[in-house]
Amino acid sequence: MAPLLQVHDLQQRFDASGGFFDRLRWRDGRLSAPRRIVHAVNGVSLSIGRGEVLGIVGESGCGKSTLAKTVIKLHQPTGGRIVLDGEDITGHDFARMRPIRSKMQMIFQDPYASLNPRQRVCDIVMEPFLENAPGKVRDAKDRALALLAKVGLGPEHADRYPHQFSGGQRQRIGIARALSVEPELIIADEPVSALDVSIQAQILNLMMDLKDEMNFSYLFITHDLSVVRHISDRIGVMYLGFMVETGSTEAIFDTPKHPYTRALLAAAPVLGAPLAAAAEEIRGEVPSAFHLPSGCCFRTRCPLAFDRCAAERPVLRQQGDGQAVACHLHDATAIAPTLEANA
Amino acid sequence: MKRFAASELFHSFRHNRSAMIGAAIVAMFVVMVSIGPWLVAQDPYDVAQLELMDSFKPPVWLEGGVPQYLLGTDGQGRDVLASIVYGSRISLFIGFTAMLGSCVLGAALGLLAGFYGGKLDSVIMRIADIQLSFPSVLTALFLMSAFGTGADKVLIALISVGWVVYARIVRGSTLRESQKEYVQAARVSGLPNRKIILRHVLPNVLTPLIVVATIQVGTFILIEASLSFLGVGVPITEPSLGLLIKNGFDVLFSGLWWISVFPGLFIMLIVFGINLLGDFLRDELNPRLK
Repeated sequence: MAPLLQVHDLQQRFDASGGFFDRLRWRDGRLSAPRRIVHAVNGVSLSIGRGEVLGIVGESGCGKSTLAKTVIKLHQPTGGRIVLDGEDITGHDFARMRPIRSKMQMIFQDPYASLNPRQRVCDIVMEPFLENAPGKVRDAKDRALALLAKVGLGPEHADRYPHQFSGGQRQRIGIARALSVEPELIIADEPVSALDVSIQAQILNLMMDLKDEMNFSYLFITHDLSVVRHISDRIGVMYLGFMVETGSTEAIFDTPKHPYTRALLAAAPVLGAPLAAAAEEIRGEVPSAFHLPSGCCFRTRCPLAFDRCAAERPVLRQQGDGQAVACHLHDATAIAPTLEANA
Repeated sequence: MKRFAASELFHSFRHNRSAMIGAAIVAMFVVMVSIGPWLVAQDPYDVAQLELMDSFKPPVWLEGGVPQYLLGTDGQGRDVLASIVYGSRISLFIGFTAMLGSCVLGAALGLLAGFYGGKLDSVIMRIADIQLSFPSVLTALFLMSAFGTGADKVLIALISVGWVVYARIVRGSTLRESQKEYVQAARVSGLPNRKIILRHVLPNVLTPLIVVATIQVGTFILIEASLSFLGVGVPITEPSLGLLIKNGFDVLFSGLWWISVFPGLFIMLIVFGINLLGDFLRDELNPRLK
């Protein structure tokens, strides 16, 4: 069966140069108005099957959230293709997106900003449903109560306003809102990162229980490796808008191949384990998304970088078992760096 | 929550003396303009009721004053107090209507500019900037000389001067609110822009709007008074407080001060009251000052 969501070579660039007068520069005796382009997502491909959880991990600012918001068409992608349930929705405008909205919903990062402070909870959770199924207003209240019950909130909460709830409860409301149209895919953009650690597990378990019950898929964005390990079937590792490694959760955690993935796993503290070897430590800062490095995006920080890394941009190559890596070190056809050094 | 907010607001209102004074002054004016005409003995604009013999009577506590005319009379024998009651109606009507008009116009343009951004935003805000770079009285004066006098024309002039403030405030708040995730959530829910603006953005930008709207009533009353004083405001048949000042101004230096000074004091009083209320609302509704 075809996967539920397929994303091919998705690109998202933003013009961050501002108005004409902000761009105006005097350079080399000439007036010019250069544009500043943020390369947020640079050719990401992924696919999610029905009932599957794909976790996307990466540092802050690596384009994970932009990827999520582009897939759900909050941003119009600048390149690539998004295919949901066999339908290419890349170029869909607002009107053509409307029937799609009930297939794909989103859970947001900040439970304090994602609920309208002037709306009652029952109105918040029913909004997607009423917008997509007009005319069924009569049983809306009952549906709202059923939804709230599903996420662990009582009927007494329905008429309250968001500010009367804690962060965890607010996120439950956000989840109920996403569920109101019974979507097939839920995009969760760091849904627990703004919550207390003690609440995170509750919300994650709720999200997984709901998935098992209603059998939808997740595109789960997070920077927390323990979270992604806990919930994902497959994992994609992002760096600077590129997907550097994908594979099953076991493969990524047991046999990470990309130097960045290894460094990421080594940097995560594990209870009871000795601190990671210094060799896997990455130094320096993430390069600016305004000026991407040539070749491999990770070469500026990679301890194993060699000549080819600056010259050629690596693409994801299958390594067997569904694991794929974008790294010249794992390109079987290439000359290994040690050989090159000897030559 | 509404009841809760109202009670909290009411609580701090009860503990804020200047707010209560402001509210009392405004309430007094509201009573005055609604039942005042039945309380004063004379309709100053019914020529049949005027006694030319009673012209230029001083206020009652001065020599020559009569109890019939508490604050004295003008050159046509019009009771100054009665003129003020009738004039306040026009002043307050113009002040509130102009506020409502510019509030609606400014908020609509501010929402559009802030929500859609781009060229629409640039056009609206550049017009607003140009508008702001002229003194408001000057702009109104220019418009009035073009349109001619009359209460409706004063309203048009005031609204075309006043919308700018609302547009700028609403645009700023709209920009901030539109970035928030609940607006993105509404978009993911499939809401059309019109519904997002009305259901999600507008309710969240109302608070600063209410504050400015309150203070603006006072400003509009003052601008209207200035226009009428300059002779381009309301016509003599529907005199506002400003026109009363102008009428008395001609004889002010002949020692007949009461004809101008009392309407002036009433303008001061109402604007003072409105500003006290506005300051209270600004302090109370601004979460940053809490």
